Amino acid sequence: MEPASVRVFSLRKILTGAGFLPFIVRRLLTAVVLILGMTFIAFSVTQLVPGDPVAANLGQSAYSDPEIVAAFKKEFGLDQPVYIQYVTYVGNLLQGDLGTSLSSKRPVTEDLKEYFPATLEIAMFAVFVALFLGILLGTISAMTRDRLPDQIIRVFSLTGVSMPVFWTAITAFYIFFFVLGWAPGTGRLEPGAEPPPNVTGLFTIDALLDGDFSTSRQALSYLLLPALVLAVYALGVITRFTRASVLEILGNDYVRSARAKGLSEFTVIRRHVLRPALLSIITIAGVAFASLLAGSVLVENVFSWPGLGQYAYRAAVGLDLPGIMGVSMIVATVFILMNLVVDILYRVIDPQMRDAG
Amino acid sequence: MRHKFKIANGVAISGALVFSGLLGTPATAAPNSLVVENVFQLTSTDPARSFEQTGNMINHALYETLITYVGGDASKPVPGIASKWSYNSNATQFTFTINPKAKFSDGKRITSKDVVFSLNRLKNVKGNPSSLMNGITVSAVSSDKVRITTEKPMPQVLAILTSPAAGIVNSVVVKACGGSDALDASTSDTALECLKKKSAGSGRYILKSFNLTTEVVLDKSKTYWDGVNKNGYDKIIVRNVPVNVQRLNVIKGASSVAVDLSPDQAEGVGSRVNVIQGKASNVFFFYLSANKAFSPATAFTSNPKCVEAARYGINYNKIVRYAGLGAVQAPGIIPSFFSGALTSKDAIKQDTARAKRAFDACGIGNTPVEIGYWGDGGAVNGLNFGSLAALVKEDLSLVGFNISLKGAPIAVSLPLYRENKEETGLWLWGPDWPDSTNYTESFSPGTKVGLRMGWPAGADTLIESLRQKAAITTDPKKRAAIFTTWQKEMNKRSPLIPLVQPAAILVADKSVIGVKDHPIWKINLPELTKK
Repeated sequence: MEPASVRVFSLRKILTGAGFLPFIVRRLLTAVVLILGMTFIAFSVTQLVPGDPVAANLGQSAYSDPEIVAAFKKEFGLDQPVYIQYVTYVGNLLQGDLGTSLSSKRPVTEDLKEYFPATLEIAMFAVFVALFLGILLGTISAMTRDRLPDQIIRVFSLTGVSMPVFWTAITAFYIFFFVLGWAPGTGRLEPGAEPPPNVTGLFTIDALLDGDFSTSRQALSYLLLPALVLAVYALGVITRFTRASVLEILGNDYVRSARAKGLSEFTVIRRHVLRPALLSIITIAGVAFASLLAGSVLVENVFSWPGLGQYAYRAAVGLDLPGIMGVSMIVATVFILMNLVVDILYRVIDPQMRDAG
Repeated sequence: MRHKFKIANGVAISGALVFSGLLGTPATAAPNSLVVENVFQLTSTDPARSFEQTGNMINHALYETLITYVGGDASKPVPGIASKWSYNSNATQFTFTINPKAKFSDGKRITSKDVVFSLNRLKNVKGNPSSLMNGITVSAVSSDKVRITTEKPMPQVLAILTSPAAGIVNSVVVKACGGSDALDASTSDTALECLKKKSAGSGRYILKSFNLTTEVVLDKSKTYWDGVNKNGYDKIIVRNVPVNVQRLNVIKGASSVAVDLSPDQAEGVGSRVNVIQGKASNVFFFYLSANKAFSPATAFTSNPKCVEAARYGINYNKIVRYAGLGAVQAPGIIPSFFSGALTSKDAIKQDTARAKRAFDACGIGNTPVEIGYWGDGGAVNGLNFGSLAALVKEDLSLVGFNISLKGAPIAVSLPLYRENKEETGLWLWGPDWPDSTNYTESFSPGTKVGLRMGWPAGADTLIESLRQKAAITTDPKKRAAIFTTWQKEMNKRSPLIPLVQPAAILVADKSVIGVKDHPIWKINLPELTKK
């Protein structure tokens, strides 16, 4: 019997087929409810922290000056009862206003526009590397089960998921920058270098769009090490998942049939093993990508990478509620979008799910 | 099989080549650029709103003040924008004459209008440094003369006016940016974002670019009114870099100055850099709350005998050893380089027998006492608050106290300290302005830290009268004597126990000349030159 997943469907047919639009609408409506729920939880949790944003943001003398404290509270609406603050926040949110950051003193949307692309750039690179190498290594590992390559890959993947990312970052920086002199250092570009004109916020792309290949290459060289460090954990996870999925599928009758028919090993793996294994790989890859966005704080700190992680850390330390909420919104939105993308890919790969509607 | 190996080898070698080729060699900034790395304490480059260390360092290069200091000195004001100044005998009226040559970077002459606008704006935007202007009024006498009047005698006005927050801005430019010096400037002034994009001062440097989390780039002003420093750097890049990475960068030559290394980290940095060691302006201290009503423990910690037990129970030498090279015991709360600072012979010495006698007399027994501090790895000048608190706990436990540590993230622990909600606490104080009045006005009963320690006005008439005397005395020698006496009395009866004044360490490439630690702006960037 041929597995259902091997049957090929046109992507266009799936995306325009019956049931797809209601599915998307349903998911988007759910997303709105989820985001509103998230704002409530994030707001409540921030209020529960026994800290004081005024004390965290004003200096020792300013904090002792009632006029300055009053002006600060008024500026950021902290003089209002908590429930009013929340209602105001949600009201502004519905108009696309995420408030003003207590630490940067500018609209959170402006801050996010600046910091999010930096994180997106390393996260995309990291997930690409993790997916490519993870699937490759996981498949090799499964194909050579219990032999030397499998053992080596398992050690590497276990190391990847076990090592604290901060430690990996510091060690990689020390080896590749300090000892070998291969890595260019911290930041997104050389000290004092002019960033490319802002189009996407991704320096590698923006420099290319500007026809500035030198800056694009420079941006890529700065991007590489932090992205690879960020990829280590996801690579470990994807390798292990791929190995497990491939091993499970390899034992199926249809794989033996394919081999018995005389198909090459490459064709068997590509068509009859990897394709059905993709379901679980896509699930974990989606979660891994969203986790990379959320979990880049430590890598960004070591590499002085001006991304969402650094912004989130600064907001958390300063009890900058609008900043914290803004980051939470972005991360939640990315998680929701990734889940949506994963579900759509399910429908592309597995027609049974499409049929189930 | 051999074929597979070849493919694998090819892939591995290509990958390594691409990897090493893309990464290339460590980056260096453009020629004649200075890269200064520190952990950013920065909110903006608007002088009226910035009051943090990194902000002070940058704004000092962008905005000049009426008077200033040279090198690492913080005691003898020298002319800045003002060429001369005078003040009356009771230090309530100060007159400054603006140097007729003084111009902003756009060529506009600096007038009294700009000075009045700048200082009124500082006062009225109600930002972090606005409290510097409490009790101070500024007015124009003529186009080149300004008068500063204080509600009560304030000899510290001169020190206050050296603060980068009191930097003089081009009123025309700032007004065009939405700036205001009106009484409602806290809501009407909208120049903040504009001043992150361009500077409006008369300093030796102008702002090229600003990023709150990565770097701030300054270009040398080509039109500086007092003569362009030919040996000064064309470009200064101040970068936000974690401490351990700062160390690697400065050793490797990827940066010129590392600002935040601890004494331990400054060891073994190699021969291509200089280690410049000074005394930090921060003093770490321990206190026992005098607020009797706060908790069962403070019913005892407010007892002078309990304070005495702690004061003589602490092993100061051990704390100094922990603080490392260049650190000294703080004999009083005023740091060593300010007027009236105590000397090492005035420092409290550990006396365990006396501490135990005082402990018994206090009667606290086994009542648990908590030490509050910045606990999530918080460290300043390389000293970790948690480690210091652990050392204090160890010593006080030997005396008999039942101590537990209660560190918390800064956003949680700082409000508890500031709102007098700690039984005991371990904190530090860095000067808002470089004058000893900053300490008498902050630590006496009824003042801000006094109140944080639960020590209200009227709690100690002698210490309070010394504070009043210090505030109105203008003669430098008499002032110094008052500050000394004030500290000695504080050491006898206040809830405050000064612990340690750490070293201030700067690590700089040997090609950089003029690196000195300053208590307010850390490094005087415009003074740095290339060998």
